[in-house]
Amino acid sequence: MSKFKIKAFFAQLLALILAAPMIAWAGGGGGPFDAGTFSAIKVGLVVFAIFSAWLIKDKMGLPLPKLIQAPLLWIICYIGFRVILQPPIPFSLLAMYMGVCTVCIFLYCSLTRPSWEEFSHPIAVMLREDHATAKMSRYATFLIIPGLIAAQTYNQMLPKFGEPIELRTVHPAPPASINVHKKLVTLQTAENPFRIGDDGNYLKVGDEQKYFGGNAWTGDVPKFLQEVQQGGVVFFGTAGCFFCHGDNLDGKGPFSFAFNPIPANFADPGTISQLQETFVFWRVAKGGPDLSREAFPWASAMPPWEKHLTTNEIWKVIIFEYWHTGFFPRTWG
Amino acid sequence: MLNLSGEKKKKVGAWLLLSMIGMLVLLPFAPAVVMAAEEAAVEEAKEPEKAKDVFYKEEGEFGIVSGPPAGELVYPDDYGSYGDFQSRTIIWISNQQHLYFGSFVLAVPMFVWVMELIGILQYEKNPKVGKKFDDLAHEMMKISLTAYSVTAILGGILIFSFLALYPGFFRYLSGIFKPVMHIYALLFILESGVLYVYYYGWDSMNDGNGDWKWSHLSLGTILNAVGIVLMVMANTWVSFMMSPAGVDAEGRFLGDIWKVMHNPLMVPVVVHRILGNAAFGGGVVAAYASFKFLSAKTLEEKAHYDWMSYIAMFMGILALIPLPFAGYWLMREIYAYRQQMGITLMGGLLAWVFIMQATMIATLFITVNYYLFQAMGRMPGSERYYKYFKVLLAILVVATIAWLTPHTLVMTPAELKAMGGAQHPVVGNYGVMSAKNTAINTMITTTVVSFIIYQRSNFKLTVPWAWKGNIFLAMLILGAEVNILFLGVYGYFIPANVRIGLSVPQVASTLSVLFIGVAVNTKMLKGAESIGEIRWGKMSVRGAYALFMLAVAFTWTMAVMGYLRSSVRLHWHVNEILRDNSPWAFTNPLGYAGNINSLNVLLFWTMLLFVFWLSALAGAGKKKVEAEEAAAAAVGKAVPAGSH
Amino acid sequence: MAKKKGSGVIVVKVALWYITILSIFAAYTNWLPQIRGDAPEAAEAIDVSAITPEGLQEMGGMIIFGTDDPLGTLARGEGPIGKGQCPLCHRFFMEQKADRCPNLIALKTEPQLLLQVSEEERSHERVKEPRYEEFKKLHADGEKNSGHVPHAETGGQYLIESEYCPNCFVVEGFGLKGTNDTESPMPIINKPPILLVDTEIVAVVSFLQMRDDPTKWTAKDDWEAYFGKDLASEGGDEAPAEVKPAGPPVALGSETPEEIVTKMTCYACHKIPGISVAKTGAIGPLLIEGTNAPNRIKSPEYKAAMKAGTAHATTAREYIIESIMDPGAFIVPGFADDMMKDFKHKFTVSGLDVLVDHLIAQDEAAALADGLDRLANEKEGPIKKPEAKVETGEAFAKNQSKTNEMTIQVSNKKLIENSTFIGLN
Repeated sequence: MSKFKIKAFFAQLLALILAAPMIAWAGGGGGPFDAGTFSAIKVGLVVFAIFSAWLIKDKMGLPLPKLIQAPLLWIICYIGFRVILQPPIPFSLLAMYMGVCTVCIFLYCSLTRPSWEEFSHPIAVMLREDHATAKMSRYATFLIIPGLIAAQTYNQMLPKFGEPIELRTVHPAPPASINVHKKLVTLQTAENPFRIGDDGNYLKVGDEQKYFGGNAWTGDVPKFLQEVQQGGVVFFGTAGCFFCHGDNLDGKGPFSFAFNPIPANFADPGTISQLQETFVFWRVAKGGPDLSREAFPWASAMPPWEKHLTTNEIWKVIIFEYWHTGFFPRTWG
Repeated sequence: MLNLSGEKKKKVGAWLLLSMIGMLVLLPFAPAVVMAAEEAAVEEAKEPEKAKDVFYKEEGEFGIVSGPPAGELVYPDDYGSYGDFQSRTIIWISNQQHLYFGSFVLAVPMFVWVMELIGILQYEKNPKVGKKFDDLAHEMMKISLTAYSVTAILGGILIFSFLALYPGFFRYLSGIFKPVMHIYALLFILESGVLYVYYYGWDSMNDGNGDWKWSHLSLGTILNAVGIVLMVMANTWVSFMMSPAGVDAEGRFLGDIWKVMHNPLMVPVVVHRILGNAAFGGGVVAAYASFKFLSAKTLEEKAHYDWMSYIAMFMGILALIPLPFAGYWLMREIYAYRQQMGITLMGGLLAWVFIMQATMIATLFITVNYYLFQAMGRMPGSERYYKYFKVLLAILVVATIAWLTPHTLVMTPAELKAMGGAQHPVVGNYGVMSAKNTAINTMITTTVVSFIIYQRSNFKLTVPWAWKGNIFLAMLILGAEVNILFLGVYGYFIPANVRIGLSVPQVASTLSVLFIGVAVNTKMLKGAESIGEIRWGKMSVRGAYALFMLAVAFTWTMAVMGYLRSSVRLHWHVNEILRDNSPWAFTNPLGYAGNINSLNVLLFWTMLLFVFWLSALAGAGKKKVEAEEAAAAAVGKAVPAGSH
Repeated sequence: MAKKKGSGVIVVKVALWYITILSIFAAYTNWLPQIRGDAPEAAEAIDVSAITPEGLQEMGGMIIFGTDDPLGTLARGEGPIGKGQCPLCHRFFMEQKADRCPNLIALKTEPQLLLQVSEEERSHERVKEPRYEEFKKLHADGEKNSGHVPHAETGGQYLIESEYCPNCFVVEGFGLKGTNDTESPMPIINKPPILLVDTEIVAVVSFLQMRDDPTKWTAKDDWEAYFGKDLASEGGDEAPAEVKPAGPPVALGSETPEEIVTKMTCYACHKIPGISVAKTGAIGPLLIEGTNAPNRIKSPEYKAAMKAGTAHATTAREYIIESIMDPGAFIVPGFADDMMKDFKHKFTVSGLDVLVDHLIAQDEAAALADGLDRLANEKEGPIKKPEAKVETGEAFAKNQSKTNEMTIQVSNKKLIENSTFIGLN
């Protein structure tokens, strides 16, 4: 091992170690850069880290032993999911991801016979050999592992005052039918009465694409856009949905920060685009109070809009929401 | 035993046997005919009352009421219990055990049949290889035979549990299915008969690839046919409970048993089950072989079981690959039947069970790949490919992470706020169907690539167009993956009904890699120069443990999916017809289900391991033939007692 | 021996491996969120054949009062008013103020009144009155609003008929003013805005019948006899099908004044120019607030109310809003404090604006254009007075005397109606 190589090795290692707090800082949202630059920096750092690893390992012929690679990889994964991925993911998801990573890192170390030997040999030495180094590390290991378990147990038993974990089924199963304004709406079969094409017939889901991006507020617009327009009036006027769901339907209305959980973000592909129109109708008409049992803890500030809007207004505002976000309701046809 | 000489005699005997069995097959339908006649007579006698079918709305809107209404069950009159213990859990466990053994004895004859066929076909070319496959088939059959008697015993326990704990429900179900249940019982006798002839006639009917052998294979065909009919029948009961048809809204039978059996979810559930059983059977046999592999003392034995485990695993995977698509079809049918049911499964109450199922599927695919990597340890020349393993593994990890990301996240309110919504702007995208389809297709494609590498790992290509072939293969795999990814991303921008259509080209990409890729690869290997023979028996111990993992994952997946299928009825015995009025009508939380599932799997494997261990004991010290005879005799005594 | 041991060790190893995997799986399921799906309470089937008379009585009570403790609600100073809205006009309890329609006080709950006849008994009397025969003749071709021909034979049938067709028989003294007791102020109960379904109407009648004597329940049989069909077999073929989306009982800014007046049933009591349904109301003042409101706030009575701290309006607009939101703040002289007190819960701000805008725009001229005039008990006197005098003094005198006669008649009838119990102040 030449001196140059050792120097380079430590240089790269230092770079890696330095990268972590930089990434943390960038991810934390501070600094003089805008969001786009942040992302670029983050991606650049990740690429740099991988490149460094490749340089150290393959190019410079400084393979890290598997036993060191494994925890290093684990730490890199952890930094990736914990710090680089922004906004922060919940702990449950982090645990799930790290579980997958842990298993797969172990598999990586045992993929082939040589790599398994490389990985397990030091452990075997530590456990079996009788010379001083092995003995020392053996004692250390048998002190550290129970110590870690004890620390973990202590940590778990420690009384905590954090908020309880909240499980919300965001989209619980709807009832088969609901009664809105004394009319029975069967959610399986009901159709939006304002989904009308130019010919006055029912507009199939997907066919409304041709109206996307158009201006519904000019004078002479097709029937569908007229309904969109009226739905917009409900959204911004009659009902004032935008106070919570936001001008851009992104759930960031001026009141949104007062609510917990925060209002639904329609612009997210995980909300209305995953749901049937009738499901949305159910949620708008009945609001939080009518959430089913499985939607415990029923945390929703959504009012039952049937008390303030007519059936037609609800259907229209739904048309508007899909039109504005450019999503299509789910259908099973 | 049979001592016929001369070609003619053999032929006549073979045909005689076949026709006898053919008549046996018809036997169970006799009571059905009688019953139909009786029913017809009853119909004429009185003015029939007509009622509307709950499912078949258009065709034959009205049926003649021919059964009592389901009524309302009353606790405790219509339920039995052992104190406060959940009666349902007892039913659950006995049902699950019966199902495990049932699926196993259904799946093994399928393998045996394929193995035997391969053996016969190979006999001409290479009698030694033919014999190898034939012995393998015979050995598998032996395991199945023991399991068969256990199945029957467990079936008896199940029925007793039903009678003791759910008499009201069982009365209703048996009232509707009585003709089917009788045919079922009779078919079971037929199945036993065929099974014994098939197993005990193995050696005496073995004339390489002659008529006797073919007749024996035909017996296997009949055995499988009867087995599948049995499974379909039992399956109709279950799917009737999920999606009843052929009865009116009060649950009164409307006279047409076929409509009851052919309920909306019957066909997809049957298809899903058959594939699932086959995969499961493969897993169990692979585990058996691994066990024998680990406990084998001689290299010869080790080599045999190494090979056997590989074959069984291979068969299991063949059934596993179409399974997600069959499951997808089933899900679609469920949504078509009741949207509410679909959402309860996928997004509602049971959504977390699907996370568990996703975990199991990811485990299966990662394990299969890992096994293939380990298996390459016995292939000289595979070192060339070691460097690709970690890339494949990395792809699997990424796909797994996308595959496992749930749509609904568990989080504290503070985490919710920090994230800025119930959906994460980055990983939230993995929570939806497009991402899931992409991930699973990627995982399957990766597995196929691993297999292609496995196929060629101990060969040096000699065909002149090798480089062209390699480029073609690379383009095929890359193209398919790009297509899968592109369609997955594209799926976010189109309506759901179109998006569902996208899964077809995605699957087509995967399947084309599977079929075209493997075919081209096989073609390229023609006349390839071997770097060294496969060193059977030299697989790492980790590979064997991976196969155990595979088997457990199969078993556990079956358990969890069974729980799911059963739970989706919520508080109904028969969906929307017969309400569960017992105190256990609630749906158990996932943790409880997980505990029971683990218990079930453990129970099943304990029984199986015990059987394996016994056979290992018997194999030691004695001559092989003697051992087999002893085992066969023991089995022969046990079975008739248990099958009734 | 060694071999046996070998396979035994493998069994243990494999078993340990299995237990490890299974424990991980089980632990994972326990770590994932736990949701227990409880079975819903057995749904209350609204199957009329299955529901007990007591159940119907209870249901009827809920429809009438919207609570199972109407007296408690009254004690808190609120009106127990359910979706049937009956207590707006009918008096069910002594504590309640409502005398627009015949009282329905129970004997049992108010024993101190020594009421002579119960509603159940009285209903049987109604069909025997000679006036009932007259109504039969009058509506021989079907009553014009509901299409029913009066044909009740028993008291229970009469009660049912009154809900489907209030005009089929109008109790003397309770008809709309000027119709000589041929038109009832009561809305048709199975039509908007009340819109009860058949079962609910049977429940209300059950309530009335069983309130005093639970053995007198015949409501379901009466219904079936009256309509000549099975109650259960009939779903909503009459009621909901023809209903235009009526919307919730809340006045919205997006509605026209006409819609709001209809929804809020202002027309039951008030005449309002420019509103086609509000031409006959004879309980509250004529609503020409362009004229009335400015005068009212200047009136000494209003000043007195302001001093007393009940009224606070300083502009006409405020006055109108106050009158709707808090009707008790100021009572127009000559009228009773009869107006519903719950409008403050039924208006959106924009809805109120729409109505107030309309009311404030109405003046005497508008009333004249619509042919409306003040009631006799309004202090301001009829708008038409001068012209009427000039044109046909005789006709006016006749009119006037008729109105007076009517007023006297009405108060007499009320007296009779109320004097059936002793001890009334």
